[in-house]
This record gives sequence, structure tokens and C-alpha cells, in this order.
Amino acid sequence: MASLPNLRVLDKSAAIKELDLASELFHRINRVIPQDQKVLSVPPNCPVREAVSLMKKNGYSQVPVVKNDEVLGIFSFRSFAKGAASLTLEECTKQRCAPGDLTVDEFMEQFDFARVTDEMVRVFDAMDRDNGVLIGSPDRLVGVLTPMDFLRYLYQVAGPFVMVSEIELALRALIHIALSDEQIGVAARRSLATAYGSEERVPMTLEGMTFDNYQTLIANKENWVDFEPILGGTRTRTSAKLKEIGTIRNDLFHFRRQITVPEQENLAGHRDWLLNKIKQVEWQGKKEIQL
Amino acid sequence: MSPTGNASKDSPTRLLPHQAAFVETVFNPSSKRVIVLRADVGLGKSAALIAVSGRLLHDRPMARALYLVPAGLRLQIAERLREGGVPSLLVDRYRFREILDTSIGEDIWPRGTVFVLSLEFASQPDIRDSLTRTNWDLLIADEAHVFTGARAETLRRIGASAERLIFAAATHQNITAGDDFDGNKDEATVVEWRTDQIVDHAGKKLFVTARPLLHEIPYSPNSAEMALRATVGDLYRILFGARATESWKAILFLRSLESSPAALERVLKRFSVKLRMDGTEYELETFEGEVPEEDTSTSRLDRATREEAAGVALRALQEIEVLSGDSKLAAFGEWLNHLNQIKTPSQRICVIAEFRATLFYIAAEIEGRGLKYQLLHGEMRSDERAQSLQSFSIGNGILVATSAVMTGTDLSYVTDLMLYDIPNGIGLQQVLGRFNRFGRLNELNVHVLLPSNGQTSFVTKSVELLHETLGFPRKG
Repeated sequence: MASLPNLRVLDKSAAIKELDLASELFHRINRVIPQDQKVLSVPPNCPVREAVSLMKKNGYSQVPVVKNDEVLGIFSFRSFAKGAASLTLEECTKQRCAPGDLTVDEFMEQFDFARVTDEMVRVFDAMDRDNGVLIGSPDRLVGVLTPMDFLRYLYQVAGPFVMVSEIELALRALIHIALSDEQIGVAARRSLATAYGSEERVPMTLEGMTFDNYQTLIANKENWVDFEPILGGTRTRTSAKLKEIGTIRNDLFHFRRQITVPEQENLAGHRDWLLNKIKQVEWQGKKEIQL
Repeated sequence: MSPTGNASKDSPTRLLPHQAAFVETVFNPSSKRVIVLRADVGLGKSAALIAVSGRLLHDRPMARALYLVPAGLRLQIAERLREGGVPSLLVDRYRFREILDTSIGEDIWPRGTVFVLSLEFASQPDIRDSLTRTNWDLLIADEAHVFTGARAETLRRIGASAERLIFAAATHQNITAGDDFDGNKDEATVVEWRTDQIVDHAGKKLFVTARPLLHEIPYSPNSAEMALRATVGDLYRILFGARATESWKAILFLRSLESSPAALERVLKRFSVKLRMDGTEYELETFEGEVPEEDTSTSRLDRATREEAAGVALRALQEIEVLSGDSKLAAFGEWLNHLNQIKTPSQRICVIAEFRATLFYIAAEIEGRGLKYQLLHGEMRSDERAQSLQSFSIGNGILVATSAVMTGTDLSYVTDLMLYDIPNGIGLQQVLGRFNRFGRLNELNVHVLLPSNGQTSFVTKSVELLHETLGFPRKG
């Protein structure tokens, strides 16, 4: 019977998504390997031409060489270049074939192995040296990790935080463009008094407000007349966008769950929408100065 | 399989007679290896399947079961297994790697566990091969009607050596996956649950309430909205005519157009961005419903088609930007006001949308009218969903939900269901099953918003499907 060490058997203590999140917070190697990665391999007697064709087709720069489920080494553009560069005309003539006709086992290099449960830092040196590491063991290859996989993973982790900060600062800037400090106070009292229990408790500066406060302030029917010329569209559509951003933002900053790729794309779309509004305001301002 | 044990006794919730009888059938040695459960929506199919899983591991702690479900259901099934105290593991690519990392030999799937996998994941070659090498004591294929083509082949391979197989689907769905097992479908034990035959523990029929009433609410798109409809129609024709694999995406434009400007804007923007990012490939995943199998791959458009489509998409986005109103949303607002005027203590209103962007759009409108709401969508954690439902059940606001998270939810206490978007065939049955189910005390009012002019073929078909599904009299 196989054992279950390191596995998160579902129990009554926590929700599944929280368990996933816990795994992600530790940034183990497993999370860095692309989820949809399909491990390709070639046999040692595979001609270089075929291996290169396979790699190009799948967008890979290296491929494990496997025989009887055992990893013998790696064939890569780099290993091939190294080997081909050292070939002499005499050797080619002797073998009576072009480099592409030779088999991959003549151009193999060795990568280090790491486990899915290893920490990221464990493979940095090997990655720097070889441009990749193998995940699993020689007789059980689980995946191949490249520097691009690291870059994509780290961007995926950090990207939403950066985008939310851009959105929040852009929104503050737009509110400042639409309203003076005094008007912000009036608009805040008008729209946030219910949420804070009384007008006295309402924050008077944008820095003291939450993102949800911004949404409520902008979506307020009386306040909207000041924002419509800048944000355009309808009040409901703008409010819906800000509401969605606020939901994602709160989940993100309170570490409630991982933000999905479509949500990241939505954030990027909302950020671009605000950026576009700022550009329009700037363009309008320059035009007025010119006139 | 052992006939011993008592599922109803061990289950956290007491099974109804038809559910308990199904569990007994599964464990009855005289039953065939393949068991087909065909059940009307809303009769507790999932609870019975969870009980079967629990009973198996209770009777045989060293057994192992495989539970295959459409991707959208896997989290809910895993949560329900957990709630039922059944040792289980939700397996995705990450977890599969961990299993590989911690096991020796080919038999990697630990005993004493129910493994939940999406059928899309199980169909990936390395996963399928690993599952095929394992002798499963029980294999459950939930929503078995979607196991067609390559998925059916996956199921046939994995189930070849399984001791017992259960194919479960709604009554109206056609299950073809079971045909390939044990010669033909005559070799299966078939269990059918019909709404009008279901009784409680006292033998009383559970469905005694009047059938739902359908209320069609017309709205008239203004000239700007009609112009937008024409533009989206152009885009639809470009993509639909481009190649067969684009047809679903073309329909997505129509679906989002009928849903809300917010949804359409989202779909158009993503479409435009994908075209810009990689001139040849794009995919659209803004929709919370079921995505066809072929849509998991990206598609390629030729340069001329791409440029034409990008131009029309940009025009549509510009037309959305200058829309000053939304006639559908206005009709929805009037409907809300009307219901608010005739409010009763038991009134519970639920609004269903198919797009996340529409969900927030509706929520913004409700909030703008000074009313409260609760959200329910696929990105919420289980505890958040439970909290939303709890607040809603005690009358704290309107429930705004996407249809994708409806499965497994009991909303029999809802009085008014607004289908802001009409879900597609399978989705519609599933959604209605959450509301019109046992436990309902009063008739359900189903409301839909329909354009009085400029109806697309998509709307016409959706309305026809709704009428057919309900089979109930219309009310003006």
C-alpha cells in the first residue's frame, strides 16, 4: 500500500481552497512547474533532427532522454550547440552523416534533480548553471523546470498586488481631479455616513478611506455628476467595475485565496481602463492650455 | 461488494427512502457491475453518491474509489465528501505530482480514500494511464451524460477493471458512456428517480406544491442598443463563418450581449487583448458556465479575419462606452420596485446571471436602489458561500448568483427567481432543480426579461428551451 506523507487529506479543519493557499504560501517547487506542463521525452536513438523538430513544435528548449523509464540525460539546444561546435569535418566525414542525423545520446548533458516539495531557493544554483532542473527522480520524472517558469510564477504571485496598487492610486488621482479637498469631504459625508454610523466618523481624506469607500463615494447618485465627465459610461457599470475590483482586492490583501488568471486579466483590464481615463484627462488639460 | 453496513445510519444527514434504497442497490451482490442512476433534478443524487462512497470506506477501509465529475463540480463534491466525513482527496496536477513524489512503484493511488478528479484532468494521457493501471473498488461518473467521445473512451479504459461502476445523470440526459461496458446497456442495473414518485419517511409524497409560474417581462432596447446589437451581429457572423471551432466563441458574444453591457465589454476586451498579445491565438474564459470540450484549445484565425474582427470589436466597445442607459436593467429595476411594494416576510428573491461581470453589474444596481444583496459565485470560498446563503435565508437581501455554483444548493425557500440570463440546456435544468425541489412549500415564480424587438436567435432558442423545460402556463 502506498503511503500518504505530505499529502493534504481533506478533513474538517479547513476549506479546500484554504489548503491550496497554504501550499502556495510556502512557494514550493510544485507550484512553479506550469500546471499544464506535458513532459516530453525522446529515446536515446532519436535523431537530432527529429528531436529538434519536436522541441520546436512544443516550444521547449530541452527534452529529457529516456530509456526504459529511466532518465539518461537532457538533450537541449545548448547541449547540441556545444557538441556540434566540437565536431570536426573529419568526424562528420567518418560518420558519413550531417549533425542532424546523429542521435541525441551523443549530445546529452546532465541536469540536477529536485523534488516537488523542495523550496525554490534550493534549485537556484543549478538553474543558473544549467538553465533548467529536472523534477522527480531518474526513474520517475515529474517535470522540467526552467528560468522562464520561475519568472512566470513570480509574476503571477506578485502581479495582482502591483496591479491593485496601481488601480487604487489611479482611482485616488481621478477623484482628486474630479473633486477639491473640500468637495471630497462633502461627497464622503453624503455617501459614507450610513456605513460609518454618523457623519462625524466619516474619513475626510482619500488616504483614510478604504477601497470600498471609493466605490460607494463614486457610485453615489449625487456624487456621480462630478465623476461622469471623467469616467464616462453609466453609473451602474462603473460601480460594478469598482465593486469587482474591491472584491478581488480584499481577497488578495487578506490572503483569502489565490487570484485566478481570468481575474488577473480582469484586473489588468480595469487598470487599463483607469489609465485610459487619466490619459484622456491629461490630454484634455493640455488641449485647454494650448487654447 | 459487501452488503453489510448502513449508510443512512453513518451519514451526517438522514437519507430519504429513495436515496437509502439506491445505496442498498449498489451494495446488493445481485446488482450488475454497472449501475445507472437516472434522477430528476433536485432529488438528492449527490447526497446518495456521497453516502455510497462513505459506506464503501466504512465497510472496507482499504478500498479506494474514484469519483469523476465535470470540472465545475469537483470542489463542491470534495467539500461534500469532507462534510460527510469521507476520507477523500481532490486531485489536480499539483497534487498528482505530490502523489508521484511520495509513492513507489506503479500503484500510486493510496487505499482508504475517495479520489475526486475532473474528467478533463482524468483524460490527460499520463493521468488516464495511471488511473487505468489501478483496480478501483468503485468508480462514480457523476453527470455521466457529458462523458462522450474521448471522455467516454477515458471512462471505458479506467473502468475496465473497476469492481463497480455508477453512472449518474439527470433523467432528461442521455447517458451513452455506459453502453460500452459489459457488452450493452441491458447489462446494467438501472435506478430511476421520478419527482412524482418520491416520498418522505412517512410515505407521503414530497412534491405537493403547485408548479412554477413563468412571468415574461418585456423591455424595449433603444436605438443605441439596437445599433450595438447590429455590430455584435457582424462580429458573430465573422467568427461563425471563420471556422467551426469559432462557433462557440461567436455564440459567447451573443450570450454576453443578451446578458449585460458589462459582460459584453468584458468579452470584447479580452478578445481584443488576446488578438493583440499573440496575433494568432486567443481564448475566452469569462463565462462561468460549462465550456465545451473543444474550447480548451486555442484557435487560430487568418490575418484578414483577425483584422476585420478586431475592427468590429473596437467599434462595439466604443458603442458600449457611449450607451447612456440599459433598457434591460431598467426593466429589472422596475420589477424590483414592484416586488418591494408587495413584500411579504417570506419573500426571497434570487437573481441568476451567467457572467461574473453581470453579477457585479446587478449587485451595483441593487445597491444603487438602496437594497441589500448577497453574492454567490465560483470564486468564493465554501465558508463565504455558506455565509451568503445563511444571510439570504433569513431575509437579509437579494441573492445574486452565477448559475455555475448552483449545484448542490438547496434554495427551495426562494419565492421569486429572476433568470437575468437564461442558462443553456443542461444549466437550466440544474438551476431550476435547486429551487423547485423537495421541501418547497409554495409555488415558485420564475421571471425572465425579454427584448420586445431585435431578438437574436439565441434569445428565441433560450425562451423555447425555458418553455419546454418548465412546460408551464405563461403569465403576462
